[in-house]
Amino acid sequence: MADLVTQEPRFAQFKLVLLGESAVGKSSIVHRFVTDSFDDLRESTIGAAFLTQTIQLDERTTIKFEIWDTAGQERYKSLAPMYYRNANCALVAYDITQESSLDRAKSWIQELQKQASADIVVALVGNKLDLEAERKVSTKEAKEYADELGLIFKEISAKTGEGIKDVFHSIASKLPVEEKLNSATKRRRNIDLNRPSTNNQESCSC
Amino acid sequence: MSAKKSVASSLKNPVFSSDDAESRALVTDEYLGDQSSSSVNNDLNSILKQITKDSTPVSSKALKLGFPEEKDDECEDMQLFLNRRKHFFILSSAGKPIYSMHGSEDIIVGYMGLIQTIVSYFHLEETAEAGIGTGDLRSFKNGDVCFTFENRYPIILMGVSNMQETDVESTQQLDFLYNYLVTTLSKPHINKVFRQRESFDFRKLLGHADVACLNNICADLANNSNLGLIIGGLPCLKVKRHIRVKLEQILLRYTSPSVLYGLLLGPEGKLITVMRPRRHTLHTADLQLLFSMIFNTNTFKTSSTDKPEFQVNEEFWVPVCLPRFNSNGFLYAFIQFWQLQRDDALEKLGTGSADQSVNPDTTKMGLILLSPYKDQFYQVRDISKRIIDRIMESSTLYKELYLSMLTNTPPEGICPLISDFIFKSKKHAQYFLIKRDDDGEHERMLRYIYSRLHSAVVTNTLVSPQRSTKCNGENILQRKIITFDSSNFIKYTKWKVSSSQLEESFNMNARISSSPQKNDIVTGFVISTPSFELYMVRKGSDIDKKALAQTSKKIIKWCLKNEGRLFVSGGAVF
Repeated sequence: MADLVTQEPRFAQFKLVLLGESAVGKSSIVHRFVTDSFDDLRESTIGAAFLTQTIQLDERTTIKFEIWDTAGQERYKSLAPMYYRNANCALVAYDITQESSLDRAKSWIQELQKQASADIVVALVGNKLDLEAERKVSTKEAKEYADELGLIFKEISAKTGEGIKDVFHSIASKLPVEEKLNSATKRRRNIDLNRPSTNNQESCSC
Repeated sequence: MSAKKSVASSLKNPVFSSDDAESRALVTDEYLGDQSSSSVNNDLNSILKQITKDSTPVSSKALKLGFPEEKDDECEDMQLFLNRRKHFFILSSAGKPIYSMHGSEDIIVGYMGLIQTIVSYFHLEETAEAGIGTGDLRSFKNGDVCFTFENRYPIILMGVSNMQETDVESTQQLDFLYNYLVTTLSKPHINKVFRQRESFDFRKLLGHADVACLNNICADLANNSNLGLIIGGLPCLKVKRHIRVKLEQILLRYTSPSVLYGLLLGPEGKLITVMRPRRHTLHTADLQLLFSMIFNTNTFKTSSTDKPEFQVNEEFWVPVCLPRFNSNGFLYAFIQFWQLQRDDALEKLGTGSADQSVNPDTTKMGLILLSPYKDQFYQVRDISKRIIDRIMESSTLYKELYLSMLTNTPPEGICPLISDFIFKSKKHAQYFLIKRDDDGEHERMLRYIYSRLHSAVVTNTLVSPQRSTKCNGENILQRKIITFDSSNFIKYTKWKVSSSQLEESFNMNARISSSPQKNDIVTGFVISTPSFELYMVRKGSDIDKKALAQTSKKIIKWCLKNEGRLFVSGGAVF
């Protein structure tokens, strides 16, 4: 116990990208995570949205996610590499009531394995658990696929909030926090004191 | 003289055949000023003299106000479908449906085929090859219903309107819808998909947000709810001149190759200032498209509260193709909103804490930075942060901006007789709006009156003898410009508003001479000169022409004197 108190707090920042077919609820997942709200009138994302959210991984570790919420439509596909190129983790979502959305999720995962950084942490997430009655994709099918590739797997509902926090915690716990901290300290030595501050005051006060 | 006749006759057409009886206009008393010979020197007195000289109304016709809002639907009822006052159809040149404002799939498919047949029947090969657009059928009228066509191979658009608009206005609306498609996809992309397969189903390319945005644009056009589209301009926030200068200095401090254009916006997309390269200006139509995308959809908003409001904890990075700037490529828009009404900042100001009753969006600012590079989000974001920080840390700037958003009234005594006005500066292609009342009914009435008045201005412009109205793509553009360059024009119209159905068969002329109740008469007034347009609305007791003329004169003088406060003139040029 005493040990924990004396230990310095740790803070690490990671980039997360959300991918998946149009209308599976990517933006709703992020909004449940960031503002704990759900928006019935949400329309599809145009381009991409950038959000941040901080979570407490354990008593001394704070993790800040920089999240790219991308548009699911086919025509934005060519922009996707820009978002996942430097991502530390990816949340690939499908809709449990739409079979085709799992196929799309699988092809995103393939693309990530080929194109993204080798150590990217990937979570496969089945959204719309609140629509259990309309389910078309069995838990088993998706889980087996995820297990095979060693992905995090969860079924969630952005509408009710079920499983959302869990997913992000699972992702955070698989992230290489130590490594990130070490590289951050190295970088800090070269900091340019004349550079104007880039502190983001609005990110905490709104 | 011909102008007089045309406006008069256009007003003789019955208006909407809607069955809404909430409010009715019983009398139109309208007067049209002669074309003034002194069109350039802007002599207000001579223009205004026209209105007091003649007191005989040119026509009097019952007009109906307060029509119901019309929204998109997928209704299967053919009768309902046919009764809509406004339709927009978008289809591919092969006749495949792309979009229809109303109607179920079953209904629209037949119409799409019909439209395609009509358009191709009139189509002249050579004009299409020359890339001019339609050299053929532009519009026809059947009774009060106007059908307008735009053939923009590989896309065809048709509008049907029962709203008394001129064909020029209808064509502009189709142009706007077409350009929205270009904005989201870019011209080469549109051409490419059809080159690969002529029967391509274009709807696959459009997302929910695109369809929602098309729906909202169409609803705006059907309900006259986008004033900027009606009168052709961008709304502007009234801010002290030195504040604008200070903001421009801040913007100029952060110029970078990553950013081509910058736009600082107040609530409802009101311009505060712009940042642009010396050689480039921003085209009004491009900005209207961009703002339609931002302000017309819920994509940038959250509706977890009762009413959708702009996200402040999110930054957006959106590829947009601005057709007038470059229809072949994309720019990348960094979009961010932030709330000015913050307790900590207000405390510093000494104005107490935030007023919770105010709609949060009325005190939000927006920053749009347009970058030519798709992969420079972080650079642009950094610039945005610095700009926002500089604005928020200056208490003068903060205070003035905050107050400008909350108060929007002209000084006392400028317009005691009227409730609402729009002053549009043609030079700036911007307008300044005074709105006294936020009530929905009043708002609908205003939109209707403003659009009627604007139609009158357009009609007047078009029938002027020096205008050539040859029908091809280039001339349409020219017509728009000519519209802004018409000679002086004045018109005013009175409507009798009532909420009783019984008054339907009332004798119109008798009604106007009887003592009207308070708030019973609505007067719309427009004056158009080469440099500005003023639209005024008075709700209340009757008002005579002389008083109207005096009021308009006061407003015009005040607006011209305060031009620097009302409009963005150069912006931050680098």
